[in-house]
Amino acid sequence: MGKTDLALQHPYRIRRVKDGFRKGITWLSAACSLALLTAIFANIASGGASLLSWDLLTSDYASATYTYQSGANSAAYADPLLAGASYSPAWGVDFEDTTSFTGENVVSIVYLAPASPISKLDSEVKVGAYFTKAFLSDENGDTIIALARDGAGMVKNNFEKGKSLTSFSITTKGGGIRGSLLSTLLVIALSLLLSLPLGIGAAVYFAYFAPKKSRFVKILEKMIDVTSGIPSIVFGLIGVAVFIPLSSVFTGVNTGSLLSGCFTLVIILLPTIVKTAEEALDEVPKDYRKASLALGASERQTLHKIILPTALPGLLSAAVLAAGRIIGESAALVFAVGNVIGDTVSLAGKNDTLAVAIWSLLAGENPNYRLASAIALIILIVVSLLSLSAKILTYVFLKKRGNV
Amino acid sequence: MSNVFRVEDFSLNYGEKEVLHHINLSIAEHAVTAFIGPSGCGKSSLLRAFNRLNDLIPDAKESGKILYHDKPIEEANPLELRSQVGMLFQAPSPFPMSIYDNVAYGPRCAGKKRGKELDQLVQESLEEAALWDEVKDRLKKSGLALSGGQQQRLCLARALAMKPEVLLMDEPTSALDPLATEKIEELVLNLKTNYTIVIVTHNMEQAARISDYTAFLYLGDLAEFDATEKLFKEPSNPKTEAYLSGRFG
Repeated sequence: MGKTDLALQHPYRIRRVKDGFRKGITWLSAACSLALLTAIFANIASGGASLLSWDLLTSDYASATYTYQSGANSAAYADPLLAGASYSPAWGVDFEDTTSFTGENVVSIVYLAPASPISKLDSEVKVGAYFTKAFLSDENGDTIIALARDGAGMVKNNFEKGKSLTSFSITTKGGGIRGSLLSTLLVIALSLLLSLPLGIGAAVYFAYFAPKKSRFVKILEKMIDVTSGIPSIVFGLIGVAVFIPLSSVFTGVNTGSLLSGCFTLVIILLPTIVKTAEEALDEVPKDYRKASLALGASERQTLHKIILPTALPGLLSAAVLAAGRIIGESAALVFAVGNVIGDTVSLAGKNDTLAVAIWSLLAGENPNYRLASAIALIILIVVSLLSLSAKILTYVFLKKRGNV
Repeated sequence: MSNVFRVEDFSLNYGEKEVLHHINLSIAEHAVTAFIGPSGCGKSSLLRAFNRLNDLIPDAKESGKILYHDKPIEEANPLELRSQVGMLFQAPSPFPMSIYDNVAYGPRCAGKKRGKELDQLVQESLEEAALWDEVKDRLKKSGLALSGGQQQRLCLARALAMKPEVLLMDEPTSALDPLATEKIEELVLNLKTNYTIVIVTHNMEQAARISDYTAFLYLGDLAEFDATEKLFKEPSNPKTEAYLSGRFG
């Protein structure tokens, strides 16, 4: 009987159909999850991408209002001819309607003639600042009030009518997330610095030195498993009860601070780090330890020269996982730090991480979806950068050891 | 010829189970001693006792004595003992680092040599393990990139770099193809002029080919221990005879 005959026999056909069905289900699930993830990413990107700019990352969240006094003016300044803007040649200032990072309709100053009296008011009066209001007087001495809420066109008309400027107010841009971004990076750095040595040390103990049959060790391992499943808000309560008083010893502040947040995060991260690090260490062939000890190396030398370097890629991904968890954590930090979006970055101070900033932006009466999406996008980018840098580090390290 | 090791009334337990019962034998200097016997007879356990590698097994318990140059090894510093008594394992286990670093690992851990002296030692060890010509142009490449037989010779060079007196080999060729096996056997015969070698093997022909003395272990007992030629030609124990003629194994 030839091969083709065999293939056409009944049981083979059924098997082929079954295999095809199973394969189909696998493909379908893969496609579904991929579609979902893409949809989430597209949603965040479409909401936040337009707001994403270097300016957003580097500017302050808080805005300040300044008012300046000025005098008469009789010159005329050349129009920069910016599309969509309203230019007042008499005052050399170009206004444009726009939306601020915080989602309000504002009138932005998009051009200032260098010689105009307004640009000479103060260094804060510059392109990018938001115009709020101005008092002018016309040729009859009557007062004209230019208000931002009337729109750029109206403001420009009022300026054109005015012959003399009595007062000119602006607010700085605001809504930037420099503070939250730096706080997040600070929290990541400090939390990892505290939790990685602890977690990896514990993992080394469990993987190599803990008596495997000891009841105590078994209970300890179970407890670590359970702790990694506790919702983080519970740890937030511990943060309030334990870590705020503890960190006040170092900071002298009695309320939540970034330091108490870091302590809380260390507790949240430890179980995950211990588990992933233990897995990474378990992947190191047991023969290495035997071979190293048989060469007269000590346990410590074996650990430092063979086992930890071999497990390094796994340990780095444990660190990336932990960093991801830090960036994503909001519930515990709302308790342990607070939800203040601020611009000063210090361990003793209250400031939001990016995830808490999203929470704060959406929790208020006027939820700001655009800024929240932009921050979400930044979080995605930071996480990607972290995992990329871990990959690069691993590659460089393996290359140095001759293993690529 | 003097003895390097003397085993006196040595027993070994793993938990409740006794795997070696009251073993008495001596390992002769600059000779090859082979341990043969069916699986589970305790030959590897006995081998690991010589460099105290059984210390790594949590519930292993030893009684009796093993003397290394007339000094009991349980009184020796295990790190020092192991730098005198090198070991080659069944599966080649080069470390995931460069060929050079693999060979230099032992001396570096012992804090002995560095620089030019270390280069010299690495070259000598690789030459002694008949690997130098094959790897001299790629010392910085990973040891894992070598073939199985080359990896085993790299492990041999790694052990030789410690300038040991004794080499323990735990079925060193069972994971290798016939050509690689032949190379290792050749090496063993060459190395015995400078080293004392104890080899555990599953392969009776191998024991007959390369060893001077053979110990036949059966179910944790030393059934017979004699010069290889005598043990293979006229075994005194009927068990040995039965094993050698392939009636069980």
